[in-house]
Amino acid sequence: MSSHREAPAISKDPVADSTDVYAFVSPDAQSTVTLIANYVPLQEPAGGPNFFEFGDDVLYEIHIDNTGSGTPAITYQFRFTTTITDPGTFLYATGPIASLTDPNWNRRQTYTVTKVQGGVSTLLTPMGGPNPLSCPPCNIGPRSTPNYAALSGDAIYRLSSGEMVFAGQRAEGFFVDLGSIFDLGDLRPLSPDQVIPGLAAAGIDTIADKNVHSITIQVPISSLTSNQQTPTGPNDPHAVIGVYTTASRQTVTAINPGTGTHTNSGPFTQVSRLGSPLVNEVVVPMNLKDFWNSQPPVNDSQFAAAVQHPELQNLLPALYPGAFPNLHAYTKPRADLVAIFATGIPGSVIGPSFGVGTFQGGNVIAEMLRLNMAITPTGPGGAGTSTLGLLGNDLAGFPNGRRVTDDVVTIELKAVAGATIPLVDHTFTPDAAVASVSQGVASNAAAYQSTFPYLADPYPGFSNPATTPSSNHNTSP
Amino acid sequence: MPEVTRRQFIRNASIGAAAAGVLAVGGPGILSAVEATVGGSPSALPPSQEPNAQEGSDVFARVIDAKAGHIKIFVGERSVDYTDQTLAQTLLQAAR
Repeated sequence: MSSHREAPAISKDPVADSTDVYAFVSPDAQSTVTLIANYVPLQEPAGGPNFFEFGDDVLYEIHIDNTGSGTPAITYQFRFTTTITDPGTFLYATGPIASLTDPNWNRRQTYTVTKVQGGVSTLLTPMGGPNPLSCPPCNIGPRSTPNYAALSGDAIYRLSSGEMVFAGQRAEGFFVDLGSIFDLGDLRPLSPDQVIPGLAAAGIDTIADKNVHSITIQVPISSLTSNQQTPTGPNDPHAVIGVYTTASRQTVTAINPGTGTHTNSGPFTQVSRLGSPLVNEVVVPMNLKDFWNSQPPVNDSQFAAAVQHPELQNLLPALYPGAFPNLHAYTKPRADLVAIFATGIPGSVIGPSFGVGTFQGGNVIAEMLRLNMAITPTGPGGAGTSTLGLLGNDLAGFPNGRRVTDDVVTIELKAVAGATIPLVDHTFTPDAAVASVSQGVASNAAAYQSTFPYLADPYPGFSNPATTPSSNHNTSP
Repeated sequence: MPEVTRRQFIRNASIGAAAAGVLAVGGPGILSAVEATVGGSPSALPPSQEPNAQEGSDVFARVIDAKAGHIKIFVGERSVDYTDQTLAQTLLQAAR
C-alpha cells in the first residue's frame, strides 16, 4: 500500500519505514509548497503503553531535486531525541498532558531541522519557540490528552528561514482496500468479473482508523527553485521539482549483552526511500525491493525494465479474463509510466487542453514525485478538483505532485491498465473496462484538515476502535 | 579470501571495539603498535582522525577482505578504510 511495509527488510523496521510522500502547492498559502513525509505505518491508536514515536537512531530526510539531475539540490534533515521525565514509572502520561512542557508527559520527543544546500548544513531555528522543537504527544484519550487540538497546534513552528514545520502523530490520510487488493488482486466493485468471482461491493478503507507519524514542512516556492525565484508560469524551466524522502540508519548496530541497550556506529546508510506511491510496492519485483530502498534515484535506470514492462499489466488481463484485450496485446515499453514515475511528464504529451507538465528536462531516469509549482491548486473540494488528479482533468493533483486527498491507488491502477498509454502512443485505445477500474474507496474526510499540517489530528486510542470488533469474518468471495 | 561471514564480522567487531579500548587509554594505540611490529600501513587515517581522538567512543572493525587487508572501521557517524593484511589476518585468527 503506497509504501507501507512494501519491502521485506523495511517491513521489519517500521520506525524507518517511509510510507507516503505528499508534495503540493499549499491551497491556503499559494506562494509555498507543502512537503509531507510519513513514517511508522499502521498505528493502532490504542497501542500503548509504549506509544508510537520517531526513531532517535534514524536520520529522516526530505530531498528536493530542482534541476532534473536526479540528485537533490536541497535536503531537509530531521533528527529526534526522546527524553523521559520519570524513569521509575511505566506510564506514558502520569496525568493529563495540558501543554508541550507539562511534566505529566513522561516520554517526549524533540527534534532538530537541518537544511543542506550546496554542501552547507544549516541548523534551522524557530522564531520565538523552543529549540529543539517539540513533537506533540500521541493522542491517548480524554484523560491523558484532554485537549489534543491545542497540543498539536502548539507543535507548529515557524522557522527563522521562512519554513513552517510540524512533526508528530497524525491521522492516516492514505486510503486503500488492502484486504481486497492483496487477495489476488481483487477490486470489490469488479469482483463479479474476477477470475475467482465474488459479489460486487464498495471498497473498504482498511486503514481508516489508523495513525501515522508525519513530518510536514511548508517552504516558500522561491527557496525551492534553482534560481531562487518564483516561477513565472507553468512552462518556466524552474517550475518543476522532484521530491523524495529517505530514512537512514547507522551502518553498525551492536546489541550490548546483558544490558538491553544498543550501540550504533558509522555513517548513515539509506534503508528506505519513497517518491511516487506504489512504485517499490507493486512495480519493483520482490528480489529488488530491499536493494531499491538502498539506492538513490539517480541510479534508477537499473530498474527501468520493471517500469517499462510492469508485472501488473500482465496480471490484470489474467485476473479479469476478457476485460483487457487491448492491454493484453500491448507489448511496447510503457513510456507513459516512465514519464509518470521517472522523468516527469512533458506538457506536450498531456494535450492541448493543458500544455504544461512535470518534465524537468534532460532524460535522467530518477523516480521521484514531481511537482510543477506554478500550477494553481484546485482544492481540496474546490472547482475543478478531482481526486483522480490528471485522469480527472485536474492537473493540480497526482501525478503532478500529490495531495493528501488524491486517490493514488485508483489513478495508478487506471494508468497501468492503459489509461495513460495514449498520451505517448496514439495508436492505442484503452479497453472499456479501464473506466470501471477503481478500488472503490472514497477518501476519508476525517483524516484531513484544510490548513497546515493538512493531515488531521490522530485518532485517540480511547475511542478507536469505537466498539469491540466482531469475531473473524471468514467469508467466501 | 571471500568477505567474512556475519558471525565472523560480529566477532571481529567485538575485537575491534576491544582494541579501540586499548588505544583509548594507551597513547599511540594499536594501529601504530601493529605498524611497528609487523609493518602495516595505516593508509587511510590522516592525523586529524587519529583514533585516540575517539576516546570514549565505541569503535567497530569489519574485515572486508582479509587477503587484501581491507578493514573498515566504524566510529561515531563515519567510517574509515584501513589497509593492513597482517592485522586482518590477526583478527580472523583471533576470531576462531
